[in-house]
Amino acid sequence: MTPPRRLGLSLGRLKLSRLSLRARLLLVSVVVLFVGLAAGGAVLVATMHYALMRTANTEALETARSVAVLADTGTLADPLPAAPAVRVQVVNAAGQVLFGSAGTDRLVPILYPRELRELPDGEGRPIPGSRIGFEGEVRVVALTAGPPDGRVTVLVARPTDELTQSVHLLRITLLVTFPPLVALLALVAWRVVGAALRPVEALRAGAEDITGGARPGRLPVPDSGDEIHRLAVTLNDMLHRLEAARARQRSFVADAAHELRSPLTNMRTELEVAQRLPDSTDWPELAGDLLTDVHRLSRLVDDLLLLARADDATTRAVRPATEEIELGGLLAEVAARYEVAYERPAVPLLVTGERDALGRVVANLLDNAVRHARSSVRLEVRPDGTDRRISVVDDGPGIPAADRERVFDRFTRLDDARARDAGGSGLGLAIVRELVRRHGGTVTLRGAVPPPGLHAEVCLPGQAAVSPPADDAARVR
Amino acid sequence: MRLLVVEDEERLASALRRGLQAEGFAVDVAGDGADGLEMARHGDYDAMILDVMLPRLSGYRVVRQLRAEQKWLPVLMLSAKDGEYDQADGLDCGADDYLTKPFSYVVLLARLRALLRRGTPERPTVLRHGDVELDPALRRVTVAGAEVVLTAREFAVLEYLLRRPGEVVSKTELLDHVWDAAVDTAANAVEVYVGYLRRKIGRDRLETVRGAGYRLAATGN
Repeated sequence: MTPPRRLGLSLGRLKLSRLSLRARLLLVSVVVLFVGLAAGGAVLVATMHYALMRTANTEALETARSVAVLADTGTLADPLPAAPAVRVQVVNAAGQVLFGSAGTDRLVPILYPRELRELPDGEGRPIPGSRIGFEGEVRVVALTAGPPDGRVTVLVARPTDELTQSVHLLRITLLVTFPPLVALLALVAWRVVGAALRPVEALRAGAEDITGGARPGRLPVPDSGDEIHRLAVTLNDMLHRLEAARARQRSFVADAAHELRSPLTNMRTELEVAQRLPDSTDWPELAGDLLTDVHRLSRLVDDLLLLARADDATTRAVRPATEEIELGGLLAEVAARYEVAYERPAVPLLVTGERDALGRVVANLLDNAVRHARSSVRLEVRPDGTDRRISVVDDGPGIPAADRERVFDRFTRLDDARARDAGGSGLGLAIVRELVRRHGGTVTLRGAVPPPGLHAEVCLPGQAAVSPPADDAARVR
Repeated sequence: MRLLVVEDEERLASALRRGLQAEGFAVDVAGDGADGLEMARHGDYDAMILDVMLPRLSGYRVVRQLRAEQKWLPVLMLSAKDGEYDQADGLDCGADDYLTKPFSYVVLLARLRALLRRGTPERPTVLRHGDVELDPALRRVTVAGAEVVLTAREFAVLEYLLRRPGEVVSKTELLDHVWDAAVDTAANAVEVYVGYLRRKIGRDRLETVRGAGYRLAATGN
């Protein structure tokens, strides 16, 4: 292909793609319709023409045969019997006209000698009718007859003018009805395509409304059960999920703001009151109180940052630094910090992951357990096939089965008393779930055996590589 | 002056108690909503500082319950929620003022003084006379429990009359308080709207005092 043609083609494509879908569909259907109708018309005309000519030929041949019979029996008479519209001649080998039907030239044969020679026996050919006084074309057939010593040729001329006329008429009719028919079909196609595409436009307008205003909208779902209906349903589903995610985000931010404000309020009010009453203020005690709040705030900020980074990691699939960790030793360190009962297993239990993250998981679980336990907390790790199971069991009040999923949400606190002296940031379990998920593991809560109490179990795959969460769907619960 | 502080953050509550006592107030502290409600019901407090997020009973419910029980002590709400609707809800529930945490202690004191200056007149969130009820926040009117749809002007006329229950309100007064000064309204506009209002809430509920004005009649109940 030469460059200019390619350019032309791409320009053509560009223009076509700029047209609306409706116009393109119309254009394609009109072109296909046009080509189809034209081809059909042409075939019809050709067939008709062929069939009529065949009939004319057969008729002429019939006449020729009946005359040939006469010639064979030597009963030819002048004028030869023939239909009025047909001219018949009997010509001898020298090209002389021996007999003719009424109105036929007695001297000159219908065909020129050369034509006569070239025309095979029993075949026909067209000649201009003007030669023998007819209008239009004439079909001439030649048939050899007579005794072998006196061969003659029977020539039958049959005018085909009326036949070509009717073919012509058919052609004219087709040409005249063709454009309005195409136009009508184009109009119908335009309407039909328009009706089919209307729901698409409705979807577009709906989407514009939703983007334009803050209206938490739904796209209009057409009544039909077609692809557009399914598209609208799918898009609405997506909008719903996005909205839910946004609502969760909003409530998370509101909760975070609340959690950050409470210690700030304490600090500010305590400081302002102390400033107004400097003499009666126990400054060391105030410093202690303020430090408690600072501690609470910095812990909250750490937790928030950790969760934000975890969210970031899941979207960017950043691979955190991993190493081989011996769980028994790691747990011993954490258990010592919380002073809980722990028996280090005899065999080393290895997992691959982030040491700090796993330490944090255990610390958060122990933190919860210690806060709610009545008398004792037990930490334990054991192998289960290739998995490693870490259990934290306390003998506190436990968590009702209905709430065991909810506590993993951010800022969920079950004790509505929200006694902060006892409560954490509300992010502890959310962080546990996030970190465990990053290690390809699961965390479950169940009632302790024997009750009362809570049994938190983390199941980590042994030697598993740290990978971003496998399915995002699980995140959007 | 005796104050009730309802706050579950113990350290904030004790700081407030110390500061307010130094200002010369007598201060009682309640640690949750239910205790706070109980103390407000029975103690004779001059004002109340009420946190919104409280264990057992939220601040909104406490103040709504107090107002429903015709307890009119001034309420200053404290909340870490700073959304505009959170504040609007708090005030519409019957609180008199709203401060978002963290607040300035100086402003808290000033607002408290302002509240105390106003005293404790009846400040119902829902205006009521006989069986006619009007909620300004919801812009809703019910007569004998059935909702009545009023135009803005009719609503304003009824609200003004309900704020002066049992008193005779003159046409001029209604004109001054319900219609704005820019509109050159004839006194008979008042008659027209009072006519509409009568048709909607019942003729006998709004009586004409010849030569003086209008008065809500003490019917129903």
